[in-house]
Amino acid sequence: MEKKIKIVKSASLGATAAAIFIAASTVMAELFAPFKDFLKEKFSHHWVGKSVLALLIFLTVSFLGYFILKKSGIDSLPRILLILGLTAVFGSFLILGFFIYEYLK
Amino acid sequence: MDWYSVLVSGHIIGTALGVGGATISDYLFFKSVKDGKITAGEFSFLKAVSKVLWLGFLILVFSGLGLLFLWRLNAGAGELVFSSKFLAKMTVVSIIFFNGLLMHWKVFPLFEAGLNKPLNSEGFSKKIPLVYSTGVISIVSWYSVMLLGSWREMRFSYPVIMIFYVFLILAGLVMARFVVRKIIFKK
Amino acid sequence: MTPLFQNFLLGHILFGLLATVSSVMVFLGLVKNAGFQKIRINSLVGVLGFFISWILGGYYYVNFYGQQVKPAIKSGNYPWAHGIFMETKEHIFLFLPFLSLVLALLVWFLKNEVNKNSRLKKAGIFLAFMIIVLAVSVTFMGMLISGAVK
Repeated sequence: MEKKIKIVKSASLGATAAAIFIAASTVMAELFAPFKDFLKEKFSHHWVGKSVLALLIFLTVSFLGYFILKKSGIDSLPRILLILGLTAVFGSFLILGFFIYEYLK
Repeated sequence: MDWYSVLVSGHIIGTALGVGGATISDYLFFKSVKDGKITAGEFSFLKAVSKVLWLGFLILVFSGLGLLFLWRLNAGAGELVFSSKFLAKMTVVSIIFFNGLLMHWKVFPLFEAGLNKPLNSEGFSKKIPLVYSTGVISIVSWYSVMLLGSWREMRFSYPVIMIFYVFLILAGLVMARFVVRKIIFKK
Repeated sequence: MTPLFQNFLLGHILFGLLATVSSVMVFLGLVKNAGFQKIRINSLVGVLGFFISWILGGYYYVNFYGQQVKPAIKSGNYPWAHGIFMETKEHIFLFLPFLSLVLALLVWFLKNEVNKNSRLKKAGIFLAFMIIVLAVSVTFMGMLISGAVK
């Protein structure tokens, strides 16, 4: 049971990290051309780069989280899931707001 | 039969199931509560009708997106997608969807917990506004969607259509409140 | 548009819709305390649907949309359909596979705990609802973008 809880917790942390990366890299790529160029160069397209890196970040954080997480019960899991959901929502509003601002600029 | 005809037929079927389902659902609800309670059998009917409604909604969405895809491939869909009628229809379809989720989340469990118990009990009567509100939103929205889809000559702007829609909802809520007070609370 | 890209675009839409419907079934299953077998299967369909939609949509986006569709939209009557909604959609979509994977892991590994722990159940319901909201938003954005193509 402890292992199963750790799997879900570490995956939640990995997904939260990926969500933060997606939102941050979206804004960064538009504001800093070298970052967008780097993604284009390494991955042939900036969006492919963001997709691949988001997946890598998810897997890395999940993997590390599984081994680093101390023995804790299920009590913190609802909060972690809530943070994940809220991160995705705020990230979405950030992205939408940013592109509206950029378009109207 | 070409894809366009298949999708239009599906869209009509979906609308029919949704409009019919919403109508029967509301009729069944008011019929059920005439004796001041909802029985297990009546609740079972409501659940069955709800399944038909969701099926209709699914068919509507899939066929609608299919039509949009066809237009996108062939002639472009700009005139349609950015028309006030279509935008209003999409707004109301979203309301149908989220209202449906709310019904299943909050209203159906309420019925289930109150089977064969008096509806004018303190516990249930506090939640009655939610019950009839979701019902009114459902039926007004389904008929609105049907009207928006079938009324070819309509040229109102988006704000005008939505104001009229909101007015219909409010009128429905007033009527539902009056009927519920008469039937359940016998006032 | 060649048949290949037509099929990729259609596949992107269909698998995305399927995943959204499955997420709705997970949401309803959790709120109604339905059997976990159904919830689990739907959560799996949701994950697979979003991942397949990601790949198909990504291929179409990288190999066709950028070269053929984007210039048409930007030079048309609704350039904001790309500037705002496509740019937003292509990034917001990326949240969905990860959210749905976490939801699937939750219902597969911790079904008993979700049943017993009301806080955990509420968190699962909230996550499922967020997936639905994002997926529906992305679908509407896709409709606007399709409408903007001359």
